[in-house]
Amino acid sequence: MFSRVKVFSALGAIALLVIVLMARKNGGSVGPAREFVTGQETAVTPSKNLRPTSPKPTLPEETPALDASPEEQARMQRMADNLLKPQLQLDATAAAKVRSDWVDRFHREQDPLLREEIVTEMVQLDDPLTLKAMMGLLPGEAHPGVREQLLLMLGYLRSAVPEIATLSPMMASAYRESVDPAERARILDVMSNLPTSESMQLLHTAFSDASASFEDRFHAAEGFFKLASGYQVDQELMRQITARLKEDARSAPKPKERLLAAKALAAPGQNNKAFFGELLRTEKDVEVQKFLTLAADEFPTQ
Amino acid sequence: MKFHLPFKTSVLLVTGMATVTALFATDPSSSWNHAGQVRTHSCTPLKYSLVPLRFPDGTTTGFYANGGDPSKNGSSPDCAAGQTEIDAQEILFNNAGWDLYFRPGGGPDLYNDPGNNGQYGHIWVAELNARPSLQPSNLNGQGCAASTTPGTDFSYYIMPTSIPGDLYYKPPVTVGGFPSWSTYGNPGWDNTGGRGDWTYIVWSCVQNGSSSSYPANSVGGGGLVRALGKRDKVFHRCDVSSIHGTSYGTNNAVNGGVTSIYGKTRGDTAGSWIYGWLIHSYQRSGGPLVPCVRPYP
Repeated sequence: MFSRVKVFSALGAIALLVIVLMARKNGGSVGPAREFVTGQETAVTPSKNLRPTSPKPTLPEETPALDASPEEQARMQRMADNLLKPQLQLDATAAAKVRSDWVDRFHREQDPLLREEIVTEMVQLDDPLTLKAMMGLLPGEAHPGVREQLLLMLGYLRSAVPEIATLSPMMASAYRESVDPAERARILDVMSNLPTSESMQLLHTAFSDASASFEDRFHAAEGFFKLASGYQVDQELMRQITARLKEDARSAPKPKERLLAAKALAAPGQNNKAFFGELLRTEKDVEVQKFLTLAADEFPTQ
Repeated sequence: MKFHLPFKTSVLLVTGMATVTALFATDPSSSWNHAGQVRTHSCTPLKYSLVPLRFPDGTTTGFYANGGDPSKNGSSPDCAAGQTEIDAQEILFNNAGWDLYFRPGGGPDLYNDPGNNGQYGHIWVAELNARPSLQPSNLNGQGCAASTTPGTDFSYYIMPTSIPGDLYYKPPVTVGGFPSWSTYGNPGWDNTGGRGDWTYIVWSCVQNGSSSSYPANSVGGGGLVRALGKRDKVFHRCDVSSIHGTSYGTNNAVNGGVTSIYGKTRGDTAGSWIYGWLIHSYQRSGGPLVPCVRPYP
């Protein structure tokens, strides 16, 4: 039988737990949750609320997104939720069964949108074997959207960096075999987010390939410079890429090609302001001039 | 043997247990996403004609506040030559102990040359001629601990990712302008012709995640920037529900979704924590889901 003392003790424990949990929510201290630096505080003057109002940016041209039916909205919600679910905690046998079920469902599924959804489900078991299972789905998949989903999730998996020695050759192979410029750009983008020497090598190879288009070189250089912002890249490779881009920016026959090269050289941290100023003296195309004027005015990063 | 508890005691116990259960549950996003956030529009004198804009760790973004192109400052009086607009909500500190104030940028309605002079970023107090008075809204951006609750206990590397311009957070035919989710993707890249690389941590999200349509899903004052999110910095999610926002196409029809998460990041190891909302992923209808972060570690 419970005594009153025990009941009060239980309530006291609950109250204590409440206080501890409130402290946890507040980042470790009991008290108001808000954290602002105090100082010379004065009343807030009501003023126009301004969201970021930058001019309409130049974004890649894409086919307009389709209107979403309620079913499609539900699918998108499920896919987003898949990336936010807790990791499955399974023993090896159960994990193998779950992976095998995903692969089977993927192969049976006729609707490419539902195949994309299955790929996002696989993120819940983020380990090297799932990475390999996902890699195995790419060669047989023809739908560009599903292929893109596979590439995106391969880059998203936590296992991607530790397994880069396996992943990188597959990505390089997919890059070489792909005739879809958007897919080639996506592969370079995914790899540029993974700070590894394998990514650096893949990007450099894509840039240096004799058959690379100006767009390929632009995306590869863009990725290489992005990688260089947080990863120690090989300075000789950096020098080679920069030299080739400068040559293109100076003397490529088409304005679009000169512009792409200049844009790649204007990546954060590259500090080619003086070079852009030099190009401005000879560049005749108005669009390229416009960009060079902007880029030559860039404040140096430190 | 049967237990007999007095009725009042039973009620108290049940209430207590329910309270405990509720406290273990993930907070609703609505508790961390309040309408009414406003900028302070504090015009502040610059020490030099060009003052670099910085990430929260104090490193420069490649852009600057230009005293020759001061903000027109919305409905507040224009800033004068030699001044910059500061949103004086708080001071952040980096490892070196620098005091950093946030300079909001803007478009052609605010700057003559928005591409170069209208970018967002922090300014080191040593490069200002006076400190603005702090006027914190104390409305959004509350402090929180990194979540340990399964389902929200994730940390991520920030990965600024461009979002297509045709995903609008408000129906564009109805509201006009360019209320595009792309603003919160990789504005550092999109708004500078590829010369920058950052995303935004915002005080509150532009939408509330309700399934209802505009304007019920809109948050007044949502989307105001607290700080730049620098590539590869770690963002810890707090125990707060995500917001699955809706996107609209140029015909006002729903055409995709954008998911945001609440949490914290910091410029460097001893720098101030920065709490706010960050885009986690986006998706165009009929297309793949594109992550804007990647798991840490």
